[in-house]
Amino acid sequence: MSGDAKPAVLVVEDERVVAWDLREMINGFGFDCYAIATSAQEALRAAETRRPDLVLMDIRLKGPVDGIETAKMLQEKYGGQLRIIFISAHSQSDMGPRAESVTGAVWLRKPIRAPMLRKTLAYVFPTSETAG
Amino acid sequence: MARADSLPPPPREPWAWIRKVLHHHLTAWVILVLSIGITALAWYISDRAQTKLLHERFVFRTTEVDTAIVQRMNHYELLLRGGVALFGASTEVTREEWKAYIEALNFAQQYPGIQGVGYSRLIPRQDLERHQQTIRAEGFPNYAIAPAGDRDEYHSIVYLEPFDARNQRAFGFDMHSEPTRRAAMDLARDTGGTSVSGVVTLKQETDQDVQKGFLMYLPVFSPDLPLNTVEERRKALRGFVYAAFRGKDLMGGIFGGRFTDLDYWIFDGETDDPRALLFQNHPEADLHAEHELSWLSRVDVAGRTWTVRFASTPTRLDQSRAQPLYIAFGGLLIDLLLFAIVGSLARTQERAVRMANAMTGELRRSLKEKDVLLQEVHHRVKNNLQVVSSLISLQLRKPENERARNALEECQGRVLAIALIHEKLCEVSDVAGLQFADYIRDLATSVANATETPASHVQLEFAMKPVVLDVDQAIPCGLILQELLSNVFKHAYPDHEGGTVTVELEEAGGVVTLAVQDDGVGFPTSFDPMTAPSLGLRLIRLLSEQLDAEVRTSSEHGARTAIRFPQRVRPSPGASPP
Repeated sequence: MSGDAKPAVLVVEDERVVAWDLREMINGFGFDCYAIATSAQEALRAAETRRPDLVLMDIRLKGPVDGIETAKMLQEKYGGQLRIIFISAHSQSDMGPRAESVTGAVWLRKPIRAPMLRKTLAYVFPTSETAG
Repeated sequence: MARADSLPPPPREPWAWIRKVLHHHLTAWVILVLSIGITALAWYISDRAQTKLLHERFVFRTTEVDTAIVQRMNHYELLLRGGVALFGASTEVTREEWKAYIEALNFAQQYPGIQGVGYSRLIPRQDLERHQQTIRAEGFPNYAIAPAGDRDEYHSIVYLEPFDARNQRAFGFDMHSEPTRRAAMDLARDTGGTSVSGVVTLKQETDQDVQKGFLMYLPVFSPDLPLNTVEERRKALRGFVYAAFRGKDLMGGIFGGRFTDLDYWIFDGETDDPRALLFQNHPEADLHAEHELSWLSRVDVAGRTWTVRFASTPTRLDQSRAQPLYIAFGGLLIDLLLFAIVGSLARTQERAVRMANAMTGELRRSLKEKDVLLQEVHHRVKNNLQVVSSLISLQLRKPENERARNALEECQGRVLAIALIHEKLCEVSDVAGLQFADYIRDLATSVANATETPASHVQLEFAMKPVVLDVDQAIPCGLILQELLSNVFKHAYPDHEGGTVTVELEEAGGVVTLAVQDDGVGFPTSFDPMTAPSLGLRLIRLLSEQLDAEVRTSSEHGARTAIRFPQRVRPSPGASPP
């Protein structure tokens, strides 16, 4: 874990360009996007190397396990205080009751633009320094 | 496109329920039970009607029997009256005259059943000897009144035709010496009319075929004596014209082989006392048995009452008893045919329904697959647009000049406006059109959030009615709105003072109106959106042309831009034709 106070963010997104864009934006907002995962397996491995404070999670992932299941697995392992932001082309209502099984999750709909992401991060981590 | 699980209902048929009922697999059984019930009822009614008819026929037959007896006995009475008249016409009737009279009547052929017609003469005691000698002198040397004995008066059968061997047995017999005959003779004498005796065994009977018999008497009086009182009639009596009947022969003559479908017993007197039985048409029939059909009637025979007991069975009266049987068997045949037809209808229908269900299921599955596929396509498009947006976003991060940065941001906004259309289409799974008010709400929020201006300073308001836009109109319309809104957020409030932006949407008479109104600084003087050179405004012009839209701007309380265009309605494949 690095010595500075920047919250550690794990991005789980199988579209590489989108993931890169997200990392740039998140880092620009004063967070530390320390890893990008494209599947549930990669996400769990990345979380093992460094425990994230926040996960940006796409619903559709590579592999058989989707984002909601991955989020649940992460929360089981690291506790309900692990914050999850779902980023999806689907709205929350499309996912039905499954989406509600993840504690304290926030939904952000694709396509994602910087101002909206900045506001969402500020909402999830109110005390963080969010100046670009 | 209609959703896969809501196929249009089949066209309404007013008699569809009949078809439905006819084709149900239980219907055949219900019809079978009902029709057998109806057949049973019809058989029952027919059987009862038949039985009633047979009862009526039975009663009618009995009256026929009664009438035949009475008529025939009336004939015999007339015949005897003719004999009496013969005596009235002449002082003395000779044996030859009597014989000629009876032969002329030819009753053996006309009225079979009569044993003989005779004359019984009254002989006072003092004339007995002279009478016997007179008859003996006529050629009957053995003539004597029987039975012998000393009596006040004697009656002797002097004439009896046909004078055959059987009848000769009665020649000279004194009927008055026997109580049953005497009663009838005295009654005839006292009343001056016809009388019939009770049951007797005739003198004519031999050892063989002994039958019960009876006699009918008419008195012959002296023509020159008064007959007003019983006493006068007794004094004036000269004898009796009489007829002797053997029961079986008589009834055989009357009925002649008719009425074999009945059993009947004829009794002398008011009751069916077996001792008074005169005749019975079927000797083997049992009077005392329990009879299905039974009747008792009384007939008047020359002042004497006879009782006739009838018995029969419906089967004997109508051996075929065909009608109820025809109804029962014919009805059952029809019932089974009906059952077979309706049953096969139901089976055919079941097969058809199974096939239709299989086909509908397949159709549903393929429609669902198509829906899923379309959603997938929209999802892919949206993902790709996200990639495009991310590419632009990444480009934005390179330190370029302000103009390039603005251009890229505008570009990204346009991409997102299109992406949002696909998102909406993704949600509704109806590719024909989308609820544009929902889209506007999301797009306006997205544009507001994308602006670096603190969003709380600008209030969004909506005055919208539900309007469904075709996807071909939704995309240019969405792009126009994107330009209008980003213009408002960029230029209307240059000093970040904030305000209210109102988006209006309505449709009336096929014309859609979309307007954006702000309360900011308004358009610059000498601003003309139709000639302004900026890319955004040129886009608005071009897209308006694509929509056949008319653009109006005004700048009274802030800026207002309104576009009006005819709504294009693409016939959706699910909808019924107009």
